[in-house]
Amino acid sequence: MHVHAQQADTTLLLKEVQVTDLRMGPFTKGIAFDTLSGLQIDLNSGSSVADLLATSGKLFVKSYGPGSLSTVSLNGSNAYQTSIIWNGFKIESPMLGQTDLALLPACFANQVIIQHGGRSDLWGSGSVGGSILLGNLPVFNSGFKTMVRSTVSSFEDQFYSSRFSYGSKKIFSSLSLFSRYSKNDFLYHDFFGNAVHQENSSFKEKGLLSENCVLTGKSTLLFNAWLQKSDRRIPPSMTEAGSQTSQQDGAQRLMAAWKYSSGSWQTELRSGFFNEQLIFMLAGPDSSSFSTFINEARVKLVKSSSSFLVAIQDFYSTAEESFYSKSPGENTIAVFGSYAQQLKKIKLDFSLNVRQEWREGTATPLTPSLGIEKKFLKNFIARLTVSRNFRNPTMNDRYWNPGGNPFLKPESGWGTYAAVEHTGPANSKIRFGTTIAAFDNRISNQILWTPGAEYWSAVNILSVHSRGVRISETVDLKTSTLSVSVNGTYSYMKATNAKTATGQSDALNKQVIYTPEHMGAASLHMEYQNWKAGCSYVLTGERYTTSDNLGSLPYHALGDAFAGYKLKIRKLEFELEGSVKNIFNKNYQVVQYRPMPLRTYSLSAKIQFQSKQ
Amino acid sequence: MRKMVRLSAAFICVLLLFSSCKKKDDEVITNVIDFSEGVLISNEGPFSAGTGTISFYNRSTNEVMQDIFQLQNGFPAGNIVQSVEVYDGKAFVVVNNAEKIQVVNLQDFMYRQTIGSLSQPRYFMGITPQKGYVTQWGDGSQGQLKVVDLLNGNTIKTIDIGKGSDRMIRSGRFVFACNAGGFDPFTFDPVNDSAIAVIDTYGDSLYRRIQVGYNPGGIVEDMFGKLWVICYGITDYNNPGNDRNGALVRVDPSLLIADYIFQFNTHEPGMRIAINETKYTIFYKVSGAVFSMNATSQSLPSNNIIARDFYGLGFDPVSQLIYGTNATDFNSSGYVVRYEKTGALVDSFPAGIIPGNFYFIPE
Repeated sequence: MHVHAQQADTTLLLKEVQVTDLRMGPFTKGIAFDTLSGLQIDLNSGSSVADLLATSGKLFVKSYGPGSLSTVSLNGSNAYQTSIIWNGFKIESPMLGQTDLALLPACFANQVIIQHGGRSDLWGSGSVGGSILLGNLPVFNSGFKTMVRSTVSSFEDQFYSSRFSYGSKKIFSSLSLFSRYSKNDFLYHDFFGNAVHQENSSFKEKGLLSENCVLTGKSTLLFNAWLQKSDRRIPPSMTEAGSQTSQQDGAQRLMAAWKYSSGSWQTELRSGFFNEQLIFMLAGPDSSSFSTFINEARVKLVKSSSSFLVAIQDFYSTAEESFYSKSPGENTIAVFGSYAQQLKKIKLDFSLNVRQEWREGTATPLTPSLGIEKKFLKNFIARLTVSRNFRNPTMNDRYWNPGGNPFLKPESGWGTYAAVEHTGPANSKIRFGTTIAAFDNRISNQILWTPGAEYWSAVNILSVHSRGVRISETVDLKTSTLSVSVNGTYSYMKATNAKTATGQSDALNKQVIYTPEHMGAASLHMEYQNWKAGCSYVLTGERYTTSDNLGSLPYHALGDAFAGYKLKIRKLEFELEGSVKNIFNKNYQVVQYRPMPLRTYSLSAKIQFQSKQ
Repeated sequence: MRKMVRLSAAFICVLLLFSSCKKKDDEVITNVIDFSEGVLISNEGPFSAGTGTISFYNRSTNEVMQDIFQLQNGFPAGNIVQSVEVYDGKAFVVVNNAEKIQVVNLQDFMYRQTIGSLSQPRYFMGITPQKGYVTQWGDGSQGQLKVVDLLNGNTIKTIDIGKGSDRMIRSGRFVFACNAGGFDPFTFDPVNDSAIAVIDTYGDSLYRRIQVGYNPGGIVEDMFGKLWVICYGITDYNNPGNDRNGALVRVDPSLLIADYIFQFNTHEPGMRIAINETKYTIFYKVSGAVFSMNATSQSLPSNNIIARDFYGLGFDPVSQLIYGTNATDFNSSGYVVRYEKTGALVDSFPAGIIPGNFYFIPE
């Protein structure tokens, strides 16, 4: 199994017993995965997962500003309908039902995969449009490695990180630390075209990640801990008077897993503990927090051409929020079963999965799925997923006072995702990869907070129909000294309100707000001996800001470029990298009236010591 | 050949990006339209980071123009346009969350000056061509009346007058300002709210407080010179034991006391009051319906005239029609719906996002 670790030019072979296989092997046949390259992760390592996804151009990141709240919209779904999975655990807040991706540092994951299409069978509530999988894959046989990195960017942005790791044949352990401060008084254009500085936008954050993995004869033990603290000032929008608001976020994420293999049987026990705190400062401090405890047991049987998996999970969440009508403690039990079959004669693999959850004793919709993967002609693969997906109401939807409704039903619906991939000749210098994909997603009982006579309340009222296509083309050229990769992506997404609340018929059949119909990106990466360079161009289409589609934000196109030089002296490696973001100095907004920076620069220096070559 | 096809596929993606995009036109037109006769509608705009707007309805042509502030000036008014007031040939656009008043010429709506240094301003009233009053909520604990200089836009004086200082009306030498409770019309503070503040315009000072019902939010004057105040009552979501019903209270502006109280059997923070062109018939919105009552009535009407809820309510003395606003989902364009005094539906026209208040320019 090949994996791209943080160093783009190193590939290390890992054992068959894959420890944190985000793709779950045969049970996820039919899913279209889009893996971000190690180089992309490395380029954004001084920043957040939000920036990493935004610069990839592969999906729309709804960002309120650099360092500010950022959520993703996958395949026409909203932020509540995309799951964020860390090493197989959902980390979104049970109170909000979403994750702020600006708070996830890109340097804490060495694998970032976009999973297209909802798969509530795998991940439960919330995986409707798709998921973002973040993984920390252990790198065995890597010896001792020490890495220190510093990135300085415009507007007093300083990022420092260090990573100490050790990988032998059977043990892998690493400790990563990072800290970042940014004054973030970036330049943007005001209403009159003058370049002005953003105010009240500084932030600082620091974090620690410990990854540990031990292989014994038949067992694999895994333990990861992620601790983080952030302090952000929240800037005003362009139409507000000013802002003194700030927000502190703390997260403690711990996970442990034990996997035991014997012959064709595999047992796995996993536990995760996720704790987050939020203090919002406006007039006075407003605190909220949640804790989620996840436990899972899996049994897998892998035979020559068929595999079976049965899993049982328990999620227990508690939350503290002064506006809640009660302090909730919620327990959810889930059972999952999967049957995967390889039909080698016709080169077709399929997996049939089903999941049933009970939240506080009440059953949520049964979510079956069918995934098919077929190889045909010489280098073509066709993938198809049909699944039923659902999204539970969040704690805010149910307990917020006033307006929350504890009897809200989950949103649910069916989704289909199909993709055809072609990979060019395996042994030639030039390789081509083409993907054409299409999807169709229907969700009903979508929760909407609607105004009433006295206050707003949450109701199951909307139906949304999302559909679209995606085309992606990659050309890779590799010689002994030069490697070039050209990539182009285009996606078209139509997400419309099939049903609206009464009195809101102007939104009927209109495009959902902040969901661009068109998105595209083109990029070029080159590596020649010790040099690397590249550029990318990301285009985000027009998006509507009002549900009747009368208000909109124009399309914007952003260009980035980078260049770097690497020097190897025995066991030491020095790397210097410079990059420019928004090269064409465009004034743009992702969310209306929330400024985004004009051109910014960044310089990064990295020193790495490796005991093994 | 295959290689060429493959390579061009990569570029096709890039080409598709451009062919599918539409460029947005951005022009500022200086219209020769005259805004000095008609109806101004203030639209709050979306709550988070949007801008409020002003719509203009022309009574003779039955045409409505949207977003006239941005159209004439090229920049948005700001976050949450609470109200618009016309005085001395100028329009005063009170932008609550941008904490300023944009002052424009009424005729062409071109920007003149900003009145700043405000803290959550709500309503404006011109007193003399040199002086105006602004009610503001401040930090929420105490509302203020700001006396502002209309020549240079500066604050002359600030007076604490009660929690959630809101709509005002002038009667003779005094200005009567409602204190509607502000950010939390949940609690009853007999000193700071639930009273009308009486301001003496000669000295710009707080003359007295008149105790009315809980959380007074709207005020009109009838043909007899009496003032009618609509009071929201108390709605405590955390502790319904604290709830108190609202009321319609009549105030005598010469004796400076409340002389008649009509108790409602309900409480809600969004009640509205308006009065007809002869100042004899009072219209008020409560419990999701609009009621009509004469100034000489001894009791509240039992039947409504319009069985429909509105966000804002007003009465145009020129066309003699009731104006209600429908904010739809509070995230897209709302509507103004017009009715006869009998409650018969006349027509409706589109407005901006969350239309809330009106200014009916006399003809």
